[in-house]
Amino acid sequence: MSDILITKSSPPQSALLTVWGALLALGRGFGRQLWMATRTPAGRIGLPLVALHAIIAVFGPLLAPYLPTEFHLRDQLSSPSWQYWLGTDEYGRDIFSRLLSGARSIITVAALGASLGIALGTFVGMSSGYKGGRTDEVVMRIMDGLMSFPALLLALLVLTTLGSNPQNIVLTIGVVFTPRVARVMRSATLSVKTLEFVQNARLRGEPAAYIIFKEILPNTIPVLTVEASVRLSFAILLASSLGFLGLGVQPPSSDWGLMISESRRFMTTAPWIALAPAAAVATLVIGVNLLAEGIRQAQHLPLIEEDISS
Amino acid sequence: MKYGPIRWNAAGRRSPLGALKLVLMFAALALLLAALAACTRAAPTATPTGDGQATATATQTGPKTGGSLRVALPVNTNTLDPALSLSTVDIVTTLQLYDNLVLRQPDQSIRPMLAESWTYNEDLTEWTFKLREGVKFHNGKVLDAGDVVFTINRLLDPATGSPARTTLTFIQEVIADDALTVRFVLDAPNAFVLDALTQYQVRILPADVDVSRLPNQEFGTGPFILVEHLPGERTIMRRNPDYWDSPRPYVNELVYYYMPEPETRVEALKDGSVDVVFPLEPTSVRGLETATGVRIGETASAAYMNFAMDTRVPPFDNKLVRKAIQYATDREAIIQVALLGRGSVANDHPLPPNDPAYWQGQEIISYDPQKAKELLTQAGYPSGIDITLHTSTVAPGMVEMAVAFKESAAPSGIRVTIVRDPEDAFWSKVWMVEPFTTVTWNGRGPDEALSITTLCDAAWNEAYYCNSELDALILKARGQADEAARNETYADIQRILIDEAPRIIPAFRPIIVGYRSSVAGVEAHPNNWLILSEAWLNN
Amino acid sequence: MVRFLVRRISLIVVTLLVVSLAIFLVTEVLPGDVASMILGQGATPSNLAAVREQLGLDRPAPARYLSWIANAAQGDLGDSYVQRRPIVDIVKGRLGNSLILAGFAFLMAVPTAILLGVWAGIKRDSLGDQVISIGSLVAISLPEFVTGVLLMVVFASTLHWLPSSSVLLPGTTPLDRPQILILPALTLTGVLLAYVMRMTRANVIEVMQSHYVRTAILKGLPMRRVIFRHVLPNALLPTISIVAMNVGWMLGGLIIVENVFSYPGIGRLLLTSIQGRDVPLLQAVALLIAATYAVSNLLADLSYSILNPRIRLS
Repeated sequence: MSDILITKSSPPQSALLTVWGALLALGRGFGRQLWMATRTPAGRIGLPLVALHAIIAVFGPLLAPYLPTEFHLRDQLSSPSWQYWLGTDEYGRDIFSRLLSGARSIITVAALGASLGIALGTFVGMSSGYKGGRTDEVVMRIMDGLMSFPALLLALLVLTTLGSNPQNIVLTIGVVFTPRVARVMRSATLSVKTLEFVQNARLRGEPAAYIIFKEILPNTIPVLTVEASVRLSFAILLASSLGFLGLGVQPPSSDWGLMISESRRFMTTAPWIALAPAAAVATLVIGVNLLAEGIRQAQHLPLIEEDISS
Repeated sequence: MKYGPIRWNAAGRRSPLGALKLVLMFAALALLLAALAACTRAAPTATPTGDGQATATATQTGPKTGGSLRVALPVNTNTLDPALSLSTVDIVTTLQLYDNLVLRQPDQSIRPMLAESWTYNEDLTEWTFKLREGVKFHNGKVLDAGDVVFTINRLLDPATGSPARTTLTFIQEVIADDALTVRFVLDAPNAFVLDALTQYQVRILPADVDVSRLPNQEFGTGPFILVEHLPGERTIMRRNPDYWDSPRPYVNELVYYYMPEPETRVEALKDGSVDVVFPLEPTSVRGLETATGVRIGETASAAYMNFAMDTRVPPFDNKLVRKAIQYATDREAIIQVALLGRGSVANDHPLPPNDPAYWQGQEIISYDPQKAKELLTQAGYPSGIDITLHTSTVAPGMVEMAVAFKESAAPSGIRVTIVRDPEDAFWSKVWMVEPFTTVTWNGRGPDEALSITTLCDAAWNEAYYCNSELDALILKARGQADEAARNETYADIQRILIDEAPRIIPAFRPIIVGYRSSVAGVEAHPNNWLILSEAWLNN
Repeated sequence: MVRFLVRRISLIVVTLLVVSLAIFLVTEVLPGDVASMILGQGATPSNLAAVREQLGLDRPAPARYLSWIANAAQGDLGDSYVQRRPIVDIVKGRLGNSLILAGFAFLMAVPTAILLGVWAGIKRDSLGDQVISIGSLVAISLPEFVTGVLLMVVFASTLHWLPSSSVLLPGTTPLDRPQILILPALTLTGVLLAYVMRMTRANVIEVMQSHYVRTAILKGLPMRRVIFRHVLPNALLPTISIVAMNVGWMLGGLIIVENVFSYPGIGRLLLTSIQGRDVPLLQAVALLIAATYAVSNLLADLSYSILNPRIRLS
């Protein structure tokens, strides 16, 4: 790893400050990784795509020519025109407006779900790896158990049990991702743990939380950044797939997966209903994946193929 | 005419009444005794001559025999016990395997089946049915009056748990007068006995049947015999060679394929994998209109979609609020969105415009948000109301109806929150529990439709609305032999329902069936049935 | 070797027990009531109670779990609530359909992927390689339902060449109507092809940089010979275990693809059992998918260990 940040020992601080400092360092680290990624070809395409989607997520509803739920009963299932740029659906709702308002829900749900998974996974993985021994063994067995479910099956079961609403989708994504992140972060921790400055901190008698947050975490940032970007893309895939299967956000919301699923009834007569949200999901995931690829290339990391079942 | 030179019930949809009307005219002219007249008029339909002519006509117009008719149906809960039938699949399966005493045809006429003819006494309290001779059940037993007694008593036994029980309780006693004569003794005059006997639960079973085998096997007299039954997969039936209505059925084999997705059913019809798709959802029709080799059968029906309000709780206990909701409902928009324009406007009562009992003087309530707003102000809600509408995908079009209502009610100050409940618990835990829900109902005749929903003690009185005047009118109409007088009573009932608005009924649904062009003899049936004994393949 | 196998297989048995318990617990607390689902609009409380008793829902949960798992071990998965017939009968045909689809996709994807991967690896950083790399990244990014819907728009709605929905009459197999396999299999192929290709390319690049290949090149061997004698055998070994690993992944892809095309396989069955609250069917299907996943992971590990002598079996 080219850019290990050496953190000097510091006077004892309150735990809160430790965490805050670690978060700041994390933020700086992520920013640096992103900046480096823009210097790769993949990153140069990926970042603008992601940025475009982010802008739509924030401002989309303001740009929409109509309300996403507004009916135009005389214009049901009409094909794209100047009046309706991407056509209308069976209620005569403007697909362009629905598309713009749908960006926010998918990006929020996916980002929150991925963050939850990363936070939980990082916590579990790092503490388990740092502790080692019997605890490590037990924790990782449990994680293996969770991973013996294909991700989509686990998500479907959890979501069916909890009921479909945005909070539960976030929770589900978090649960599904935790063991996968934990495994990656555990091995990253194991490799940093043996380094000299960590040993020094231990000898100084620093508390475990301090060592994990201030010494180990900053040094796993490159790994964490790659992991985060990959998780984000999987979270978008998972959330939109769940929406497509009817277990995600419920109608009349303009969730993209749901829009595609509802469009199947009109596939032969009004294919444009399916095309627009399909293109939207595709560009978003492609953007995130290209960005992830850029980050990876910038670090000159070998192609670490992800567990594709995630 | 398939059943002989005289069309049996040229007089109208509720045949006994039509016949009775004729009878009264005859009586007035002192030509014949009423009962005798009814008897003779009914008789020709079932005489061998009648059948012979039917055959002759059939060969002329050319129904071909043979072939295998493949029908795509949605997957549905499934029992072969007619008494417990609930779903469309249940109903159209037992329809091919069993026979009723009488059967309602797609044109709403009532056709004699196992009953060859019938008479009734003057005050409509005793009905006597003459059974067809020599009809054989698939298990070999020969039909006699005891089978009818057994079937009706089984339905009336609360232990059977048949939903038809409450609609048959007017039958005090069923008596086998001789081997082929069965007499129904009623508790009050009733002109709707035939209607009650056309219900899909009232299929005649052999008296020697082991009832525990009914859910998975069949013991009918029907045109087809069950060969293989795999619920959720397929059902295979073969032609009954001994069917009493020879030469029907025309096809040698009948195969039901269960396909859960509407898209797949449509695709199967398009590529010729199946011959009939039943039922077809309005959303599927568009994709089929341009397809080659496909025909679409559509019929208006009395099946309706509605909003149920609990009239015991605020704000629905306030008649002015209900009136406001009436005017805030854009009926056209609901038909446009929920049925893609295929349906007809309903006026908050269950009688469709093509029913003879429809009150011609009524004015359809127009969509008038301004008036709705005024009514709300009068009701004491000048700033509008917030209501929660519960709905579910359990029936097609319900969610769309809810969404359309929310949009159309908004300008009147009626702010609707839609809650989509899971399909499984909707009928048991939401409908008739939550104060405001979407509902869909099958098509029924006026008496049945009103009796099951509007009488104070009706099992499905979803509005919890009780009006003794209405109850008296419904019971009065049931016993009125004269059609004109009865329709007057029905007009009063409709007037009250429109004025009081215990339920908001915005739309009647059509019944749509898709066929390959090679299929003949199948018609869309307003009751959502599929009569296949007449079907034949033209290839 | 034997010890390794015994250990791995007993681990699978333990995993499956845990998984079965998890599935049971999760499905136990499913919201909704199967009795009212079965009876529909006309249900009365006494009907409901009768159905619950008939289905054995009035027994305590631990007793039901034990009898379920004991019966499942003997191949008896119970009866479906909704279809009211043995689950084994229902699942058999569906599983066959899924295997046919998956097999078809594998046959299309794997050879193509290996060819493209080897070529891209050898011609590293050439224009072709870059096109393939970006293309594969795009393919990996597209969710199956997006790919499926796009294929549907092109080949079914516009060109009318292939059906958009899989019409499979009960009693027949997809092999009787191969046209219904094409679009679903193509959709599944997308991600699989990209993934196997990327791994093959990476392996080829790695082997190309190894000492023995360099030695072979410096020795003046013809390039063709170097590739066929030295690079391919070493680069393709890991690919085999990657392919095995993908069997597990395919299960997830199958769930989506089958639902896109209404293909009557195990993934479609999973969704219908969820929608119908058909708990025994859902439990059986979930268990079956989890078991397939575990076994294919074992096969992946095994093949990797056997094919790669550098890894000691322990």
